[in-house]
Amino acid sequence: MINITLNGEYLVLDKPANIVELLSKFSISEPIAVEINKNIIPRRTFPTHNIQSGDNIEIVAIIGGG
Amino acid sequence: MSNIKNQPQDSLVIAGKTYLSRLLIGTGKYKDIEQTKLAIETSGAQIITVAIRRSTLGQKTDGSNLLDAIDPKKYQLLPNTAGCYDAESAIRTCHLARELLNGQKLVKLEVLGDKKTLFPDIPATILAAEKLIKEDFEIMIYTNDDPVMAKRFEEMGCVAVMPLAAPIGSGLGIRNPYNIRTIVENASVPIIVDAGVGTASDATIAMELGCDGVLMNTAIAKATHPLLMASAMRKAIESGREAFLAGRIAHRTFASASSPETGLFF
Repeated sequence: MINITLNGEYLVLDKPANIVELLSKFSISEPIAVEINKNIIPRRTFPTHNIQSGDNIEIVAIIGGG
Repeated sequence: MSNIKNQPQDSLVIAGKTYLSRLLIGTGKYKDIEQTKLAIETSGAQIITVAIRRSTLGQKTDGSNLLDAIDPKKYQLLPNTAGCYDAESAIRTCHLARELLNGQKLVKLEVLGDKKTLFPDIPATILAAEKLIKEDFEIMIYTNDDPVMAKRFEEMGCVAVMPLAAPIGSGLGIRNPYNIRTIVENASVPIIVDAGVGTASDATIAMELGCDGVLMNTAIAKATHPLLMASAMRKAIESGREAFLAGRIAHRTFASASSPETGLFF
C-alpha cells in the first residue's frame, strides 16, 4: 500500500506505480508538469520514476490568469 | 503601428524578441475560453499572461483547454507567479512554468505582500529575482511605482520592469503619473505598466507618459462588453503611443490664439 498526497488530497495506491501509471488513473487532457516533494520530475523519467509512500505530489497545468 | 511614410517600425523588444503590439493581456476572469480567445484576437495582443495551478485531473467538465484556444506558436505565453506570497512559491512556480513551456525562460515574477491591495512584497521579490536570474530566467518584474526600486530591478538584470498603476483589478488608472514618468525616464529596459488600468484613457495616459506597453486583464474581462473594450484598448494603446512619438505641446498657463491676430477687419 502506497500512501501519498496528490494535489492536496490523500490517496492510497494498492500497488506500486510509476508516474505514467499514476497519470493513467485520470483523464488529463492538458499538458501537465509533476512535482514530488517540491522537486520537478522531468517528463522523460515518468515511465521509470516510482512513487514512494509519503510522497507529496503536485500535478499542475497552465490556466487563465492575469 | 503607424504607416506614415519613412517611419521606422515602432516595435517593442523584450529579451531580444520583437513585438508589434504594445498591449499585453491576461487570460483570467473571462466568461469562458471562447470569450478569452476572441478578446485576445480583438485586442491584437501578442504577449498573453497565464497562471500555473493544480490540474483538475480531468474533473473539469467542459473539456476545453486554454492552450487549444491560444496557440503557443502564435502568441508569446507569459506565465505569472500570481498568488505567491513568498519567494519560495514564486521560484517553484517559475520552475514549473519552465517545465510546462519546454524550457521557456521568460516569466512574469510577482510576489505579493498584502491580500487587500495585492501590492508587491519588495524584499521577497528581490530574493526571488536574484535566485531566478542566476538560473538564467528572463524576468519581467511586477513592482510598485518607486523609481529607485524600478532602477534596481533593471540593474539586477530583469528584462522588463512592470510598475503597477493601481491595485490589481481596481480600475483606478495611474495613481502617480509623476513616478511612472520618472521610471520611464530612468529606464534602459522596457517599462510596462501592469495592474489597475480601468478604461481606455488609462492605457492612453500610460503610453503618453512614455511607457513601452501596458498589461491589463480585469479592464477587458470584466467590462460590460469585453470584446468592445478589447477593441478600445487596442486603439488606446496605439493612439497613446503615436501621441507620445508625435511630441505633445507644452502646458501653458495662459492662452495662445490659434487664428492670426493680424488682418483683423473690425
